[in-house]
Amino acid sequence: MHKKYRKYMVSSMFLLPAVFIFTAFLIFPLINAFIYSFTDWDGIRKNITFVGFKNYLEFFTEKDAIAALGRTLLLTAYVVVIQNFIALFFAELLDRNIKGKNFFQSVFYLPAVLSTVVVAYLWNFIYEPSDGVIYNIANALNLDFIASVRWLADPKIALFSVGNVMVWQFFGYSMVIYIAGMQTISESYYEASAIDGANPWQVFRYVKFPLLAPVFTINLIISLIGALKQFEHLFLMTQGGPGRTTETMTILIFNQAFGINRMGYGTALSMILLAIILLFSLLQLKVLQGREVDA
Amino acid sequence: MKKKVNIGTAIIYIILLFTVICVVYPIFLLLINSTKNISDFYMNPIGLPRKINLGNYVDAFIKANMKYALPNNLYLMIVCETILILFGSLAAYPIARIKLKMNQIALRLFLLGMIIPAQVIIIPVFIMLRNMHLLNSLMGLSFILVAMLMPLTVFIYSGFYKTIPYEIEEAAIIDGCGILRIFFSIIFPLSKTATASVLILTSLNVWREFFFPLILISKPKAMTLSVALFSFENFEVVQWTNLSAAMVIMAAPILILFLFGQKYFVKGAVSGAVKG
Repeated sequence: MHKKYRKYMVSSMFLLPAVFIFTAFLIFPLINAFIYSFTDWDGIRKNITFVGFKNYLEFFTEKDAIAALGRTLLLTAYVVVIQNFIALFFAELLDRNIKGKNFFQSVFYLPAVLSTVVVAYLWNFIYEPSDGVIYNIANALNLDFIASVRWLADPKIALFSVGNVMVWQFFGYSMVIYIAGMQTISESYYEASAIDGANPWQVFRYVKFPLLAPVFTINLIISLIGALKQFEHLFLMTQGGPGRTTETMTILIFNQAFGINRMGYGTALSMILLAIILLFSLLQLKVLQGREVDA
Repeated sequence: MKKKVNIGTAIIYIILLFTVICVVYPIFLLLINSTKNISDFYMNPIGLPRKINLGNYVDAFIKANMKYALPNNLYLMIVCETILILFGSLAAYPIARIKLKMNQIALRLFLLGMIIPAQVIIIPVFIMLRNMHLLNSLMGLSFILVAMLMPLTVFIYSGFYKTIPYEIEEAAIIDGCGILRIFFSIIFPLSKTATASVLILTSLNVWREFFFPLILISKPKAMTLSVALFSFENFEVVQWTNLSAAMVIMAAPILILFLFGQKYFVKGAVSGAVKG
């Protein structure tokens, strides 16, 4: 009896500082946000009027809001697929005895440690239509069709241009996780497949990739959540423009809450985003963990 | 047979080297452009400078407020890391060692926190700090950043504690050590690797944090580097030359640390994502 009491005492004492600060500055605001989402507050007025589900209904009926959700999903799909594909590709290339393996790993990882502000402005310069890097290089090579592309100003490709920046920054991060996963695969699998006469592609498809299932799951979840939450690159490079073509949920939330002071509506939007993130995470865990058991 | 292998390897190297250029060239460009003056830049935007000119850095320090922002970042990092490591290492101990339902609930609570995007809580946090008169305060900012990074910290520490053999604590208990002494004199010193991982992963995030400081801090003297950089680009007359200098000031400390400790960065990232 005394032992159990002591366990509770010690646990509480050790947990208290961290749980306190976490609850006060994360959980408590989360609950507040939930409450605000049912109001039409503008952040300044003293009186707050409850409007029930009006904000949520507005989201589902407003064309621009649904469009923002669509862009979030589109950008997420684009980034997750390309980033993981490139990461796996390079992980596979580097998972062999070549000289400079650590060098390449470090270099590819480097963009991930840079600040988003630095990366965003860097790519603004690269994408710049008349002074920028792509323009100058393409001009020098007489590739006018590349030089004339307006990466961030063309409504059709602006979203994907920003997506490319995200991939550039984080493919190295996904890659090193895949490499770590590959290193846990025991040699005996490769020996067995060599005896069976498998070529490298077959080894990858039928041996390596299935064995990478847990790492694949983790990477997929991390990159998915990261892409869904993405705000800073868009904010710093296009601010939702041109027009509204790069206005994702996160940008919409920002513009509604801080641009036109619709804090109630803004928090409702962020609740919807949170629900989507939770939904995707849980779905992924379910689907992909099924695969893991088989491997 | 030998010739086939060589062509394959050569192709791999070409692909790898090309990608290295794609990654490194922009950063290299950043460095060299920061040393060009404007006319030099317009004549030659993507090549090497004719002569090195450090005027842009003076510009950045003064006009971009970097002389305040740089110390602010350092201060923020020290405060956040201290609280994170102290509170986080403590909290992770019962989660890893003491089997109580309460501790598992705490762990799940922390895990939930990792998914929550900053957008969801920014408005309530803004209101809360405003009411506490902690807007424009690095202290206030540090509280919210600590809260955001606590789950990762606890996760890393608890994972590490599980690898410490219980016999060590058993021996200490037999010797009559109180639990606090066991923790601070034995467990924590043993967890240097975990502390290193936490330090690398969290301080990186604190240094680079943009969204929270953007909303919560508007006084130029209290700004962090990321916001100072943003504000420089937005409100001052900038060319790529002096903007590059400001960007280098922000990126340089991390880049230098990375150059010397690449192994730790990569290891830290992996340990945060892969179990064991």
